[in-house]
Amino acid sequence: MDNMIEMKNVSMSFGALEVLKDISLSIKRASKTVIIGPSGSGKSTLLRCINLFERPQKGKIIIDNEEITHLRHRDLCRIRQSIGMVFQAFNLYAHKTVLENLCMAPVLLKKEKYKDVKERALMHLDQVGLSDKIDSYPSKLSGGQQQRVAIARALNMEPKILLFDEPTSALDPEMISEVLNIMTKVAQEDITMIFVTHEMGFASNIADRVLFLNEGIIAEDGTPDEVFNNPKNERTKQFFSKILKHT
Amino acid sequence: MFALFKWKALFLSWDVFILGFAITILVSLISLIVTLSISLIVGIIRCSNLKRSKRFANWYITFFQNTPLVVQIIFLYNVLPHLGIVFSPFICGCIGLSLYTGAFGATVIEAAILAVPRGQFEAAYSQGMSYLQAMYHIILPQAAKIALPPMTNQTVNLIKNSSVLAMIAGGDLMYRADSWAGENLFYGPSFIITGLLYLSLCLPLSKFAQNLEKKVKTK
Ligand SMILES: Nc1ncnc2c1ncn2[C@@H]1O[C@H](COP(=O)(O)OP(=O)(O)OP(=O)(O)O)[C@@H](O)[C@H]1O
Ligand SMILES: [Mg+2]
Repeated sequence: MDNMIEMKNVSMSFGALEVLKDISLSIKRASKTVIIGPSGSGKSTLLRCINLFERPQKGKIIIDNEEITHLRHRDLCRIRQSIGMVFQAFNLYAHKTVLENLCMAPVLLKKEKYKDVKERALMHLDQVGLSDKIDSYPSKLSGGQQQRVAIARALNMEPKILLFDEPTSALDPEMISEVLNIMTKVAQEDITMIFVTHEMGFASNIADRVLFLNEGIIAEDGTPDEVFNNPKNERTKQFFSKILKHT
Repeated sequence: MFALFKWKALFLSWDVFILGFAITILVSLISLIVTLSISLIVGIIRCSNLKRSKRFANWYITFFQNTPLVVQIIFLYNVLPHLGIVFSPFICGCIGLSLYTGAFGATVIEAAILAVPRGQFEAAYSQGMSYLQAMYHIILPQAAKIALPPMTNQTVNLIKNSSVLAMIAGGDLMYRADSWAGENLFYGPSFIITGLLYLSLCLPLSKFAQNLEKKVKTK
């Protein structure tokens, strides 16, 4: 099978609020998908269902041909090792240096040799242009630098899947492009990636596929060109006209 | 009170005070270690989603925070023997002090854990850590920093509260000072020295806690 991620009839509610409504979705191995949509439409929830940060009440989630919805906690931890996540708020380990941030989990969880992990970490830090910051603490870095470290940290686990939840939304405007550049570079790798982002330029550049999520339903699904230039759905058109007005 | 002969008598029995002082330090040290363990375990339980343990933790904290330490220690010493459980005054003191201070320490640890941003947990989970791994490697080291000043204050309280051992003839500084003065009625010198000895333990710790708090605030 060529699908890395499959969601089958996934529904998710918070109390009475139904956030995801019967979503079925297949994501191809090594593909790059961008999810857009208005605030509160369920983008983060959809992303967080993939590593089971949120447990959907209905439906199945299948990662690399293994159903994870019914896994025991221990197996879930193993699955999560191969699903990296980059957060809006970076979430670097505040009490650890940049190098420790990258090396800790692979050594602790994947039982790799520190020497090998460190070598790989240095390579990834070079990739995000932060080789000179290996011994800095996160609090001493700018937002853009922290997010680049967070990306390197996720890469250093050698994941099969990378999830990005609005990785540039918390950044000052002048730092957004440095992070987008790194993400564009990272998108060349053979990892299956899903980005929740409002950066349309970035999306057109790297995405194979764009999903427009509206009120818990995938309202639009196509190539960037199809979705951005010929949206079928009225709600999608409204959304784009608003975004264009604001930027 | 300032009669020279009273002070002379006191210095001749210096060994009484030093012995009491040593026992106070020993009781405090043992109780501190037990207190820290209780605080850590109960504090973590309070932040977990273990329903039963949580109810037990709530009950423990409410009960021990809201009854006087003296009552707890006298209960341990005088009532438990009727149930066939006999502890020496020293052990009773350590158990009472630890349970009492642990009830406060647990809320300190709980608050410190809750003060660590939620995102730290999420990052750890996203990399595949279990609850305990995330707690041990990511959350507790950061919570410890936050908890250190209030925990030091709890230690000061513990040292001062160890004086209730005197109520059950615990052999501590307070007890020995009181019985020494009870024999010769030299209460003034006896308790001046006793106060100074407690001060010599508590003041440096208080200052230490204050400095830490300042450091955390200016950050
Ligand atoms: N843990 C939660 N408990 C209760 N409600 C939640 C929770 N998480 C999300 N929600 C609600 O679910 C809805 C969808 O949230 P979600 O975060 O998935 O939206 P989003 O598309 O990511 O929005 P945004 O662009 O603002 O990040 C929102 O109405 C939100 O208030
Ligand atoms: Mg969101």
